[in-house]
Amino acid sequence: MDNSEIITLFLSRDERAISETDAKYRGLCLSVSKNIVKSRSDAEECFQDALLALWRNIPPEKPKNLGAYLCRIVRNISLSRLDYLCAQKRAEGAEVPFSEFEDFLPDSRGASFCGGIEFSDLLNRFLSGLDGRTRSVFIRRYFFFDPVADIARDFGMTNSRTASMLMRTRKKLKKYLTEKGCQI
Amino acid sequence: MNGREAADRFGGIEEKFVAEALETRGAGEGRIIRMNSKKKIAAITVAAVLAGVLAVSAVAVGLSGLGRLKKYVDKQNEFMNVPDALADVDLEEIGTEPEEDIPGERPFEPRVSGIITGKGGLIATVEMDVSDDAEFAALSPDEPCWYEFPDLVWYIPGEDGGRISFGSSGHADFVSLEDGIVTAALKIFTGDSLPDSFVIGLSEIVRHDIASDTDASYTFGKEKRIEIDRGLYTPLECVKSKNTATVRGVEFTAEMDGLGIYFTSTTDEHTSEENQALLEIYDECPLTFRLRDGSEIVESWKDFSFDAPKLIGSATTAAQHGKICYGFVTVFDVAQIESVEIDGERFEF
Repeated sequence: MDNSEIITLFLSRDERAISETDAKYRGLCLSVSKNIVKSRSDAEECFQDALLALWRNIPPEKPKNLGAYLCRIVRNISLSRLDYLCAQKRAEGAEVPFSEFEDFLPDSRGASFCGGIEFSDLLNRFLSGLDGRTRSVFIRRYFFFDPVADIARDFGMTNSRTASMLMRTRKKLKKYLTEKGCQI
Repeated sequence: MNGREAADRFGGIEEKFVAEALETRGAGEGRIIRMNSKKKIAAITVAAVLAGVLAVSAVAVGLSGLGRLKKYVDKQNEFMNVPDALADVDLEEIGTEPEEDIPGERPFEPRVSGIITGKGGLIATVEMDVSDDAEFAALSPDEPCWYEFPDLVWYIPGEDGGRISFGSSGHADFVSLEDGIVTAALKIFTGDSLPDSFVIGLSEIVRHDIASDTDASYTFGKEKRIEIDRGLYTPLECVKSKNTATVRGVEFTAEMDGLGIYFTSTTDEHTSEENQALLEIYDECPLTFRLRDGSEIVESWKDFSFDAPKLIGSATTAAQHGKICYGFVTVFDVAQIESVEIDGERFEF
């Protein structure tokens, strides 16, 4: 079933929307969640929560890309789940590359705004200036938290090249944010 | 902003960009590797060839790390049987024309300054002008550095239109940068037959400066076919010799085969004193090649000339950083070499 049909089911409050979404996106969502929470059972729970959120959000929302929309929900729920697991000291093995963010993003005082512009807007402007390949590699790492080896494989590159590309993109972002008035 | 907070901020990436990246990711846990069919076949072919001819990997692996030279030499000898091994490989028809340059990237225009062959192989030196790249040129050539060649690939087109790939590596065998010209030397082993041409693909050169912890990259297009000048072909019987000597407290093994002479220190892990000695040897001790006709060629490790008529090669540049414990020298007509002397210690051949 294509996405527009699934969304139509959601809009008409037809519960088949859930089963169809489950059938189409379970594997993707579990892999996204597992990149963050590591545990299959936690990922399953995050996915179920995401389906519930989807049911609550549509309507009124009507996403243009159901897969991307669902991935964002799964990601956010999984990050919250990771916070919970870390607080309970049960996040053993979690390897989310948070540390890679820290050397190129604004400090906490300017977390939301840089030079009067919201950070997410700046980030999207920066991303729009990248070529598609570099952009997707960057998002694969820092949105989906995919391992470098997986990204390299999917793009037909070596691990070292992928890591170099990520490093250079981080440096470009840092330079871009600095120019826009962010305090790094 | 700490990393965890930043992760939340990245949740604000526009949906269209997320969808775009999602396209590259495949459908789920069993992800789809999105390669076009040509690349899939190429990958399968490369895997088959590499599986059948393990020696090839030694070109990439054997020269890339510490103390691996012996392995490389063994594999190279093993490789002399390569024509038989290749006969069993069912090469797929994938076309051999170099791919188009990637739009937006610099055209890849290597200049082949010399091709030297020995029995079972050839050595090509390829020069690439990177002097027009401001970022790349901004780094001082004198800074300690190392180079990375992501996705460097070279292969020989097969007679049936297929590809006989002899290696895919992030490393050239040796490399230098002078006056904005990168010179990479590649070793390609072909068995007894010399191909008419080979294809080199190079997507990027990355220069990492160790002292300043910065890097610069130079991006090329994809692949170029290089015709081989058969006039330079010189059949050479494979010569094998090996001996050991201790230079300034570091034991070196010198091994000669049909393609070159290789000096390697005999242990992988060195003490700080040995590392210091390696640096001194690199800086202070030239190599004196005594030829059978009575003449001598004296070259320093770091100043090997790619233009010398009979001698081509380089000690690895990383040696000067104390990280590498072997020297690597390739010579053209090794049969003419009678001995090599380093700091009074003689390696006979």
